[in-house]
This record gives sequence, C-alpha cells and structure tokens, in this order.
Amino acid sequence: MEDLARIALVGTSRHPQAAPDAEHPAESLVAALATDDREQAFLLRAGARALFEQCGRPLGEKREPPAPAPPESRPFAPPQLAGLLQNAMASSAWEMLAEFLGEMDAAGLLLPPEILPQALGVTDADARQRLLPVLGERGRWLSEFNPEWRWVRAGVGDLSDRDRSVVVRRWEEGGFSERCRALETLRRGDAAEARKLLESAIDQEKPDHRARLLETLAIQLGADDEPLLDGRLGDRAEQVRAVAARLLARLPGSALAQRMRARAEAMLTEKAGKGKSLHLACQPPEEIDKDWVRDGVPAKPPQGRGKRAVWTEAVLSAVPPSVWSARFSAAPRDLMEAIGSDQFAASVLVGWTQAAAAFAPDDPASAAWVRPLWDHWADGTPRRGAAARAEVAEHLQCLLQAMPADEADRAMGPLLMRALEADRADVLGLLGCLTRPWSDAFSRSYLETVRKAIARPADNTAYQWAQSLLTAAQAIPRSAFAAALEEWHAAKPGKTPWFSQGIAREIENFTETIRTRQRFYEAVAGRGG
Amino acid sequence: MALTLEQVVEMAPDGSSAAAGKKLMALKNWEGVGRDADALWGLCRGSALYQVKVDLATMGYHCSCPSRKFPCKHVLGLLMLWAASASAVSEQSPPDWVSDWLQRRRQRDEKKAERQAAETQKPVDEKAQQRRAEQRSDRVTDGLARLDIWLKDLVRSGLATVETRPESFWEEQAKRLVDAQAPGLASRVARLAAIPRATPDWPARLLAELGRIAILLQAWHRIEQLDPALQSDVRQLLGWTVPQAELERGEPIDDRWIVVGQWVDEDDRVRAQRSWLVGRATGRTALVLQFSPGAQPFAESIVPGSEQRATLVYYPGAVAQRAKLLGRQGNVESVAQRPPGAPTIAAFLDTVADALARQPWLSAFGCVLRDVTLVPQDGRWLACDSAGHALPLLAHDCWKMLAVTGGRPCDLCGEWNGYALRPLGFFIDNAWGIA
Repeated sequence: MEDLARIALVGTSRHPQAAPDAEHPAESLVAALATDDREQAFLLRAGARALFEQCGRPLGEKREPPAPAPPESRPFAPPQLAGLLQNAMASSAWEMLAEFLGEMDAAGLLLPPEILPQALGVTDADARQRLLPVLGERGRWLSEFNPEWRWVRAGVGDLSDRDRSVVVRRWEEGGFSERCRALETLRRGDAAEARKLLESAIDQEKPDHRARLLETLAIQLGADDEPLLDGRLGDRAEQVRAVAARLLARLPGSALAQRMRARAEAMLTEKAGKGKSLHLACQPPEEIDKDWVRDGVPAKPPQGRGKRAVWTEAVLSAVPPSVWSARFSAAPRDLMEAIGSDQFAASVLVGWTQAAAAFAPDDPASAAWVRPLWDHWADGTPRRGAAARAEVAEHLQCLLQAMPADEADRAMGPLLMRALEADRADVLGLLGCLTRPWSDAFSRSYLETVRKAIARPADNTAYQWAQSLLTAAQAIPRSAFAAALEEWHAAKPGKTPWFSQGIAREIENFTETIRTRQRFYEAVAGRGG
Repeated sequence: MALTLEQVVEMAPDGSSAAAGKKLMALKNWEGVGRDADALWGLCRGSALYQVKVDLATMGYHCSCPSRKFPCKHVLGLLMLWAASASAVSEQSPPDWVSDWLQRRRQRDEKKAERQAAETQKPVDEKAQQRRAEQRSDRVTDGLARLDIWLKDLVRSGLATVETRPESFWEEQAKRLVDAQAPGLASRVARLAAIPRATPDWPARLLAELGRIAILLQAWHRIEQLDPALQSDVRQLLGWTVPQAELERGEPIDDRWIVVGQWVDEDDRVRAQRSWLVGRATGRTALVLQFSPGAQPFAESIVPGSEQRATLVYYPGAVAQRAKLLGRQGNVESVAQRPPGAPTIAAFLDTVADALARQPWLSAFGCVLRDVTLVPQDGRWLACDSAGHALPLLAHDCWKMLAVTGGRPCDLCGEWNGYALRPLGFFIDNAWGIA
C-alpha cells in the first residue's frame, strides 16, 4: 500500500511507467479486471490491496501487560459512596470531602475504584493528605502510570522535583495571591528554600505585599529565620516592621524578644505598701526612642487613641503572660484583679489577651491565662457601639482559637445563650473557629439556641442566626443529626419577606447538607447489604 | 437487576440534565412511587406535581412537565431513585394515569403496525413504480460516472493537492451525489474530508478509501453479475432504503440481546446513534442505527449495558450486520453475566477478514474481546489479549477503565474500524461499565 500511496501522492501523470508489483498476492484479483484505463486500474488495484491488507492485518509483536494491582487488605467502599464523593470533589466541598475520607479510613474502607482517576487529580494539599490512606493498593498502582499522580509516592509535604519546579514557577510568574500560596506550599515542604526565595525577592515588592509575604514565615518559624526578620525591622514600611516584630517576638531566643521583655518589665511593676493584696501599676514611657520604633512599636498612635496606651498594648502583647505569673508569683485571675483600677488597665488586658493567644500553643503557663481572659471579655458588661462590640468579638476569637476543643465548646455555649437573650448576633462569627466536629453537647445547645433565634419575627438578627447554619451544617457530629433534622419552624415574616425567605433558604441548605452527610454514614454502615 | 445509576446518567441528553436528575433522586421529592411488571411511575414535586412514568419494556417515558429535554430531569430522577434504592419502589397496581398512558402507548404501536400492514397491501401501480425505479437507476448511473471521472482526475493530478483543500472540495462532490439520488455514497465521500492530515499515514488511508469507492462504482456497473445478497448491499451502500416489507420478510431472531456498546456519531448534520448488540444464546452481533436531526431524542431508548429479550431482524446483505429491533418482550435489565465474545484478538480479526471477503465495504465491526488487559503506553492505550497480541484503542482517556480493572483481564466491548478499536464498554466482576 505504501508504494501505491507514494505514487498517488504525486499523481499517476508523473509516474507514466508505474509498473504494478506483479508479486503482490492481490494481483490475481486485479488481473481479472481487463481495463485499459490507467487511473481506473490504479484505483481498483489500490482498493484490492487495501482490502487484502486489512483482511491479513499482522498481529504484531507480542506484549507483556504490566503486573496487575496487588490484592487489597481492606474492602472497597460501596458504589453508593462513589456518587457522594464525586459530587464533593466536583464542587470542591473540601470540608465535607475531608470528613467523608476520614470516616472511610476509620471504617477501614477504600475509595471505589471508578473514582480513583478523579481523586488522583485533586491538587489541594490537605485533600491529598486525606486521600492517601484510602487510595489502597489499586490507587497506588494506578498512580504509577501517570506522571501527574507522582505525589502518591513522593508524599504530599515532600515536594518532588517536578512539584517543586511547578511551585517555583508559580512563585516566579503567578499573580500575587498565587505567589503567596506557592510560597506557603514550599515553606511547608522546605522552609529554608522558601526563605531563600523570599529573601531574594522581597526588596522589589510593594509594602503591603512585603508584609503579606513575610507573614509566610509563620509556617515552621524557627531560629534560622531571625536574621531575615531582624533585617526587616529596618523596613521603610511600618506594616512590614510590625509583621517582623510580631514573628520575632514569637521566637523566644530572639534579641527582639529579650528587648521587649526588658521594656515590659520596666513598665509593669508592683505598687508598694497597699496592704496585703497585690496591686500592679503600668507606667509606659512618655516618649519612646528609635529603637522602640524599629522593634515595631508604632511611633504615632492611630487616630483617637492615646500613644501611651498603644505602646502598652504593643509591648505587652510581645511578652508571654507566663512571665508575669512567675514574676509576681500570682495566678492570672489575681493579676487581672491587681491591675484593676490602673489608668492603663484596659490596654494591659488587651496586651495580655493577644499575648496569651499567641503563646498558648507552645507555653502551658501562658495557656493558663486563656480562660480567665475569656471570662473577662465574655462576662464584661456589654459595650455600647458596634465598633466596641466588634473589638470584644475579636479578642474572644483570638482566645477561642487558643483553647483546646472541649474547652472551646464549653465556653461557646453560654456565650450564645447570652447573645440570644440580648438579641444580638455579633458573636456568631466565632462558631467558625471551633474545632470540627463539634461536641454532641455543644451541638445540641447550639441547635436549641438557633431554633429559638429564628423562630422570632424575621429581621436581620434572625437572618444572621440562620446564616450560622452554614457553618453548623459541616460541624455537627452525626450523633446530633436527628436533632438537626427535627422539623424547623420557619420564622414569621417581618416587615419585608426578604429575611424570612433568606432564613427558609438557609434552613433548606442546612438540612440538605445534613441529609447528604447522613446518606454517607448510612452507606458506610450498610456496606454489607 | 434493574438499571445502574451509570446507565441512567448515560440516558441523559446532557450533563446538566443528569445533574438535575441527581438532585431529584432523593425519595423526599417524590410521592406515590411504584412499579409493576410493565411500568415505573411517581409524582414529582416541581413547580407543579408532575406525573412521571416509564414503560419498562421499551424504556419509553413520559412526564407531564413542560421541559423540552428528553428524557427530562424528572424521568431521570425517577430512574435514578429506582437504580439507587430499588427497595424504596414497591410493587403495586398502577394508578389510572399510568395504565391509561400505557394503554394508549400500546394502542398507538398497534395502529402503527396496522397502518404499515395496510400500506404493504395497498394495490400498487406497478408500471409507475417500475418507471420511477428506472429513472432513479439512470440518475445514479450518471452521478457515478461523473464521480468516476473526478476520482481518476484526483489520482492523476496527485493526492498531495487535497492537503490544502477546504471541506467544501469534498462536500461539493457529496452534494452532486445527493442530487443523483445516491445519498449513501454521498456521505461516504463527505467523510473523506476528515482523512487528509489526520494521521501520518493519511495518503495510504485516503487511497484505500478511494480504491474501495472505485470498487463500489465497478460493482454498480456490473451489478447483474453479483449474487442477490451483495446486490442488496450495493444498493444500500449507494443510498436505496430497504422497504419495510422486504425487511420484515427476513428471519426474525429471538434472543436475549445485550447492548454491549453505543456511541453517537455527531459528524453529520443528522446524529447517528450506533448500538452494538450481542445475542446471549446465538452469539450473533448486530448494529442498530437510529438517526435524529439536531438535538432531538432518538425514537427508541436503547440503554448501553442493558439486556432484554427481544426480536430482531437483519437487513438483507452478504454479511448480517445492520439490524432492526422488531419487538422488545422482557424488561430491560442490567447485564450481570459475561457476554459471549471472541476468545482472542486473532479470532476476532479472522471474523473481520471473513466478513470483508464477503462484503468489502464494511467499515465497522462490533466486538466483545474476552480476557483482554488494558495497557497505557506513552499517552496511547492498547488492549492486550491472553495470547499477548494487542490492538490500539481509539481513546485518549481510559483511566477509569484501568482503575476498575486494576490490570486484570476484562471483556472489552468496542467498535473496530480497521485501524483502531473504539472502546465502548467493559465487563468485569459481573458488571458492565461504560468505557
């Protein structure tokens, strides 16, 4: 066929004496044709040979298929789960996916094979981590055939050369938020390499970008980062200096941490001779020198605030609160009492709050401050004005994030009840900071509170309560599903139908998500039949 | 076993309908869901309460919603509900709105059959018929003679010239053939447009096709010398339709017919649905074609991976391949047992050679290759049989199939075009999956 094709390509007119290959077995068919038209004979010959070759297609050399996947030690999840998992992946519902995958792993199940290609194509690092234990032998076997699925072998945190080059390219060529993510990914995999990249590029960045990029050093922060951070204390932009100072303060051995501690100790002293009980006095300086400013203490306070109060907050927030418990040999509550009527008491408490939240994870003695400070902010008389209340919610949020899960659950319940009584919704944002899944007890108390809140005439507050269901839908544990699915009493329409419609929509989304999760658990439980 | 979720998704006219159907598959969206031996039904709460019903013998369906998609999301939702939780659908006697619909459907089918019967019995003006047939033959002969000249010019001046030709170069010839009342050959010529530059060996492929057309012209020229079956093939290839009466004179074949694969050819203006069927008892292969202009649904629901007792008749010809479903008797079920098939690639290619020797214009062959292993190789895919021989696959992404088979041998269903195998389905672990 090849020789005929070559002739056909240039045209028979240029091959006047194109002699047929008389040896070809198909010639016997053509011979019977008796036509003296050259082109017709050529075409018929081509047709006959094509047919001949198609009928006698050679089987080709033998091949050895790759070895099949090794047998599994765990069963595959039932096929009903495939649809739920596929939907979660397709809609990037990572949180629900994480829950499903974790539960499958706990139940000893593997991903149904038909969704493996989709699962291996997931790029989200956290989702990959969750996928690893449920890929099974089949998933690991499959991943070897596609270079894009190398992460299964190489590990998620451990960046393969290819992944690394992808990340570095994103860092070099991507948009700003993409560059931040790339740097964070690299920082998790190789902290030193990420620091080097940052160091080489930071001078060319805009101030707010410098601050944001420097922030990535918070991941795997270590003593090796001190020189870079220390250099940034001389940055022209105040926000960059502030980030550098905050990170350096978290490094206990850093020179900045030592300087801050000395400043704080000079500021906060015991008041002498006032009976037996302890009294503290806070005396921030009247003026500060350049060294303070270099360490991230703002030279000029924001509008409407006293400079000395701001300096107090800045210095105290950089010192672990455990320092004070040791120095004055007193419990946190006693020390909070002791600052009581001081002129700068409010600033001291803010500084302590920020410090307690920052240092609690690594320092148990500082962690002991978290709950007393929470009580202070949670039980204090409600402040007037949205700005002041938002500030309190912010303090509560830092503290909540520093609490162990069970304590956080215990702390949140009463706070919600009080918010309901006061007909407010400003603390609902804190729900997002709780570890998931929530405890059964907290979930029930939350559900009870939210049911009451949205049974009231529909207004903005009731709507905000309904919106918290979005968070709850993912956080409520399966033991509380039944309670979550009990009939919801729709809110009475208020002045406009807008709110009551919004509330109804939130309720519907909530019950739909809970039902999806319930279906998942039922499928896992009923895998036998 | 009823249909699987995957098969129902396959019935959807598009992805968004499938997704919308999935949202409706929860039992809470439904009232009065039930089934009996003939039908499945339910009421779906949409903007109104819609009556949804499915004829289980033919997978025909109807919904009272105003949607213009067929099947609509309510029908898909009901089938998905049934596929996912068959136990939720209890057997009961159908409400009136279901039995009425079924009855009307059956009556309509009967009437259609009667009408056809009446037509065949209609007295015909044999003289006029004869004259029309002669006229058409003459026009076809003229059209083919012109094509013959064009073909010869093409090889005389060289195929290199077609490389840069626009599609209209081929379409013009195709249009002339339509005018000459040879629409079958017209679409064969129109398809040539896809060959140049598509593969490295395109000149050989194009020449092979031109050669086969030349043989077809030759066959028309000397049609009286061919045996009657092959005469019928030649006439069908040129574009004559087989009269209903002649078709029904063929031998009806009762079997459990398995739909081993299906794909829709959207290249032409008219979409062509190609379903490959394999008879469980007879082991015979049949190709059922359905055509639909634009986005309209195909007349019959033929579900890939399903199996049903049915009667089928082959079109006349030297090789029995294309067929028509005459009647569907049992319920449509999922394939749960291995379909019959070729034990090796060599055995399958033998049947291909045998068929080509009898009917040289066949261009597609349905098959079930038993015990083949899927092999990914440098971005291409191969199917390797137990003897170690391999066929290239006409597919870019077979990852799902590789994941489900895990490198174990499976029964691969596909369509062979002489160069590569288009994978359509596979059977492993007592279940059929879409490739």
